Order: sequence, then structure tokens, then C-alpha cells
Amino acid sequence: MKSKLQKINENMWRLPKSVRPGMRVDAMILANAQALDMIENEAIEQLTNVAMLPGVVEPVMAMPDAHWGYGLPMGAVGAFDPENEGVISSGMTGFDINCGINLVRTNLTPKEVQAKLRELVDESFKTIPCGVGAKGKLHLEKDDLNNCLKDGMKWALSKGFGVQEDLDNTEEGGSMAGGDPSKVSELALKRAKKQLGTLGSGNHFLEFQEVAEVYDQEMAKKWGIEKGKVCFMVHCGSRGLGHQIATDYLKIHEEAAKRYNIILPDRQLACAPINSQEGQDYYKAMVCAVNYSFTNRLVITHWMREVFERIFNKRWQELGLQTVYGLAHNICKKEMHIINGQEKEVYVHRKGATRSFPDIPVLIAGSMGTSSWLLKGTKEAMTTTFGSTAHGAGRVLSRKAATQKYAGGAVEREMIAKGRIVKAANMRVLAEEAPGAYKDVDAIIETVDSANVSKKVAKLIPMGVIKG
Amino acid sequence: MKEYEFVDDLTSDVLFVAYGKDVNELFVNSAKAMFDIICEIVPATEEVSFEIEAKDLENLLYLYLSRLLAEYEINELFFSEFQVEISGNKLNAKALGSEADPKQGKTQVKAVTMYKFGIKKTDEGYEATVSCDI
Repeated sequence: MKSKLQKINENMWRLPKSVRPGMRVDAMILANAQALDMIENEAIEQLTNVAMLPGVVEPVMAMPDAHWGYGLPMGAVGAFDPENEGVISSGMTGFDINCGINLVRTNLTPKEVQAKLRELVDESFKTIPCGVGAKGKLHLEKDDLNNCLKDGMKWALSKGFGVQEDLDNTEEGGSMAGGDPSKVSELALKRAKKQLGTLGSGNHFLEFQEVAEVYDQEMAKKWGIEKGKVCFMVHCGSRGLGHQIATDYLKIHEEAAKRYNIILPDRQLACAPINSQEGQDYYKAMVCAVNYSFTNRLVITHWMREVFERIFNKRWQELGLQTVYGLAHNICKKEMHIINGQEKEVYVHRKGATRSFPDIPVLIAGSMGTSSWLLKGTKEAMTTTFGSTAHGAGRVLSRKAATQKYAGGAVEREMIAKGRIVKAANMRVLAEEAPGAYKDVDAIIETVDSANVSKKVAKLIPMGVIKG
Repeated sequence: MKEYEFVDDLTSDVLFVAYGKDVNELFVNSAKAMFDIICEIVPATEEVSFEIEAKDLENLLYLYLSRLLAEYEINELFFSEFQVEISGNKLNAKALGSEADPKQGKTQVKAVTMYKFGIKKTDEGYEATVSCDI
């Protein structure tokens, strides 16, 4: 399929709908030569599957970090028109609903943090439950859980977590409208009770970072970012609640697809018409997971402020621990976009993709030990990628291949040799998440920056990492 | 007969094939494979029981494995022993294990996926292919 790509320019490739019978629209790939080289053929084939679904809006988009995923590749965007039989899909949103990132700034210099880094990493590891089997510290009763799912960070604020500015600096204000807990299964609700404020495992992390370079002084200043200061980044999702909602609706959508005569080119693309009961029920349940996940990262941020207060003996406000931004990179959203010259509402599935709206912060995480990035969204993204950009580095090795190639201990030693501290719940996760298992994030950033889909603001390099 | 094996499927997070001379054994070995991803083998001191009904055997396996993921999180237990009794499209299950401890945790399984998911009848019994999102 890769051989059939048509070059539009240095950063954009078209896969015309003529390459496969049944495709309703073209697919586009945003990638420079280096990034394209790292995208597997199978991921490109998956775009053609999505392009066959009813109501799909041209084009199905792959981001430069795209890699094979379940149904829709990770690093891809699929928009659907509700007025033209468009569908909504649990599989296209992904199992970890609102997996995302928060970036928090500090007034501290790398020297000040370096002097207490071991203490900071150990205390954070002790404070934030992480890893498989870690126990949550909050146990939510029914009413609190329902309010958390409906109101997200607004509920958390009323319970003493965070401040209004945290909500102001979060996508959807941390409280996405339209959530209905009655559309969430009992099993999913039970999973949510004890997991608020937990990091999880796998590629999730908490990282202390140095602002190594600033590319856009004006935006950096506006967002409180300064070269030579320290930030921390939290990457996690909606935990078991999101996983269960995705699992439940995958089955519901499989049946719905049959009922509405939707031909599924891939079982993981199970979907329902947006304007059906099954479609709207999923949306309402998904919003609950979105709100839970925003709240999860806020609770972690709140506890991290307390960690900084204990280590540096100052109030978090004095230490300047303000949220720069918090966002989702697995989500389905109702948004207004220009389609065939007319503005209309479409449902945009971003799976492993970040919203990139003009002058709004974008966060792209690197693999462990490589740089992460703060960028700004652009007008160009609104016309080329449904206001979307990349989300991370993207895997090149399976977890099994990574554990065969790398040893957790060696990965840790390599990090220490670079003056960084890494702490993980177990060594295996370090091998699975070894930097060599991921693509070069800088090549991804070069693509989105030169294509003007999002512009570089600051480069963040890791100092200490906590892996679940 | 082998209980299960992991297959290096470059594009999948973790894919395994489980075997069983009958469907009960197939389900038990599938559960063992999935918990081999999640945790070390732990003593079986506590147990959880549940029942599931599905329209066919494949759906029953999907729901069974998904339910185990939910039960281990809800009860904060790691499982290492499994008992299954299938009759028609109904399943009675018992999972045994002990209190989850991150020191014995390996890798989180987010969900069972439909990628290559299926059950095959073989000369020796049954074979299930399961891919897990990590």
C-alpha cells in the first residue's frame, strides 16, 4: 500500500480512494521522508479500512507518529458526519479513553532540582500509586463518582483538588459536557471507585524535565515557560473505567453494526451510527471516562504539589507549580470544521492524536529518556488535519521484541550514565519502554513544525522518570 | 499438551495462543496466559466467583477474559488459578489468587481486543488466539 502513496509535498502524502474498492474517501499521511519510513505498511492499510466506513469525512488522516493500532492506527484522526450516516466507534477512540498529558511548570532551576532529585523521585514514587496492582488512595462513593463522571475537574475543585487555573488550562476546562453515568456499566463503575489518582502502567509516566530550549519566546512567556527552569509531566488515562467502557461498547457496537448493516472491514472498527441509541450511549459513557481521566491527572498534580512542598519546604504557589496545560490524546469530540466550504459539526476521533487549535498549547511526549515538546496549535491544522497533530514518538518494536532486545537494568544504567534517575514498579517495564523501542520523536516534531500543523515552543529534556 | 504460547506478532501488543483438550481447559489456559502477562504466580488464598452468559463460545471467552481483568482490579487481587465450568452458552467461573502487590506485577493489560481473536477446533481439542492491548 505504501508504494501507492502520492507525494503532495515534503510533509504530505495522499492515498487515493482508487487504491482499494470500497474506500469512500482518500487517506492522507502527514510525514516527512524520515517519519514516513517509520510508518508500517499495515498502519497505512488500516487507514483504508477506516475510509470505507459510512459517513467518513475526507480525508482519514495519519499523523507522523502513526503506528499499527487496533482498528484505527495510533496517531490517526477520523472525522464522521452525523448528517450523512456517520459512525462513532469505541475501537477508533481506543481502549484508554482520554489517555493524555498534563504539563506543570515550576520556578525551580535544574541545579536546585538536581540537588534533591533522588529524594523527589522516591517521594513521588511513594505518593503516586503506580504499577500493576498498585492500590488507589481514594475510595469514591456512588454520589461522588457520579459527580466526578459528569463534572470532571469541576467536581474535583469542589473537593479541594487543584485551583480554578488548573481548569482554565485544560482542554474542555477539564469538564466535558454530555457525560451520563447511567450509560456506564456497573462493572466499569466498580473499577473506577478506587483508581482515581493512580498512574497505571505501560507507557504511562511522571517525568521531571528541564526546559532545554525555547523557540517561541512570546508563547513561552505567556504560558510561564522559561529556558533553564524545571517542569513535570504526567501521562496517564482513565484507568479501568475507560478500559471497561471501551470493552463494553466494542461488543455493543459489534451488534449495532450488524443491526444497521454496516460492513466492518476490521472487527476492531465496530461502530454505530452517531445518531443511533448505541452511538449516543457510547458518546455519553465516553465523556464520563474523559472527565474521570482529566480528574485523575488533576489529583496526581495536587499530590505532586504536596510532594514539592515537602521536599523544598515552600508552598507550591511560591514554587510556581502552575498547570501549563492538560490535554487528551485518545478521544472523540463534536467539533465545528469546514467541510466542502461549509462549517459543520463532525465527530472527530483522535486516537494517539492531539488537538491543535490556533495558539492553544500542544504537548507531545517523547519516549523515556528522549525529549518531550511543548508546541502551539495553528490555523493550518484547522484546514489540513481537523485541528490535530501528533501525540508522541510511536512504537517501532513490540513489547516482546523490546524485552528480548533490551534488559531493564541496562536501560536504567544508560539513564544513570546520562545523569538521569529512573524508578519503575518493575524492571520489565523499563525494557518494554526502552527508548530504542520507539521512533525518534524529533523527526515527528520536525514534520508537524515544518508542515505548520503545530509550531515548536519549547523542548523539554528528562531529568527523572517514574514508570508504572 | 502445551497450555499456551506467546507469539511475536510485531504489530500487536501481546498475542497468545492457548490450547485445551476441551473448552473448559481452553478457557483456563487462556486465563493463565493473560495473567502470565500481568503478574508473577501468586499463592491462591482468596477467590472470586462469577457467572457469564453469551450468545456463542467466542463471545463467552471474550467476556470471560474481560471480566477477569475487571475482577482483579476491583478486588485488588492477582489471580493464578482458574476454574471454569461451561454448559452451553453459560459459564461458571472461579478465580483464585492473593492480594495484588506491585512488586509481583508485570505488565498491565488494558483490554482483550478483537484482533485475530478466535477459537478453532483442532485434532487435539481447541485453540484460542487472543491479543491484548497493553
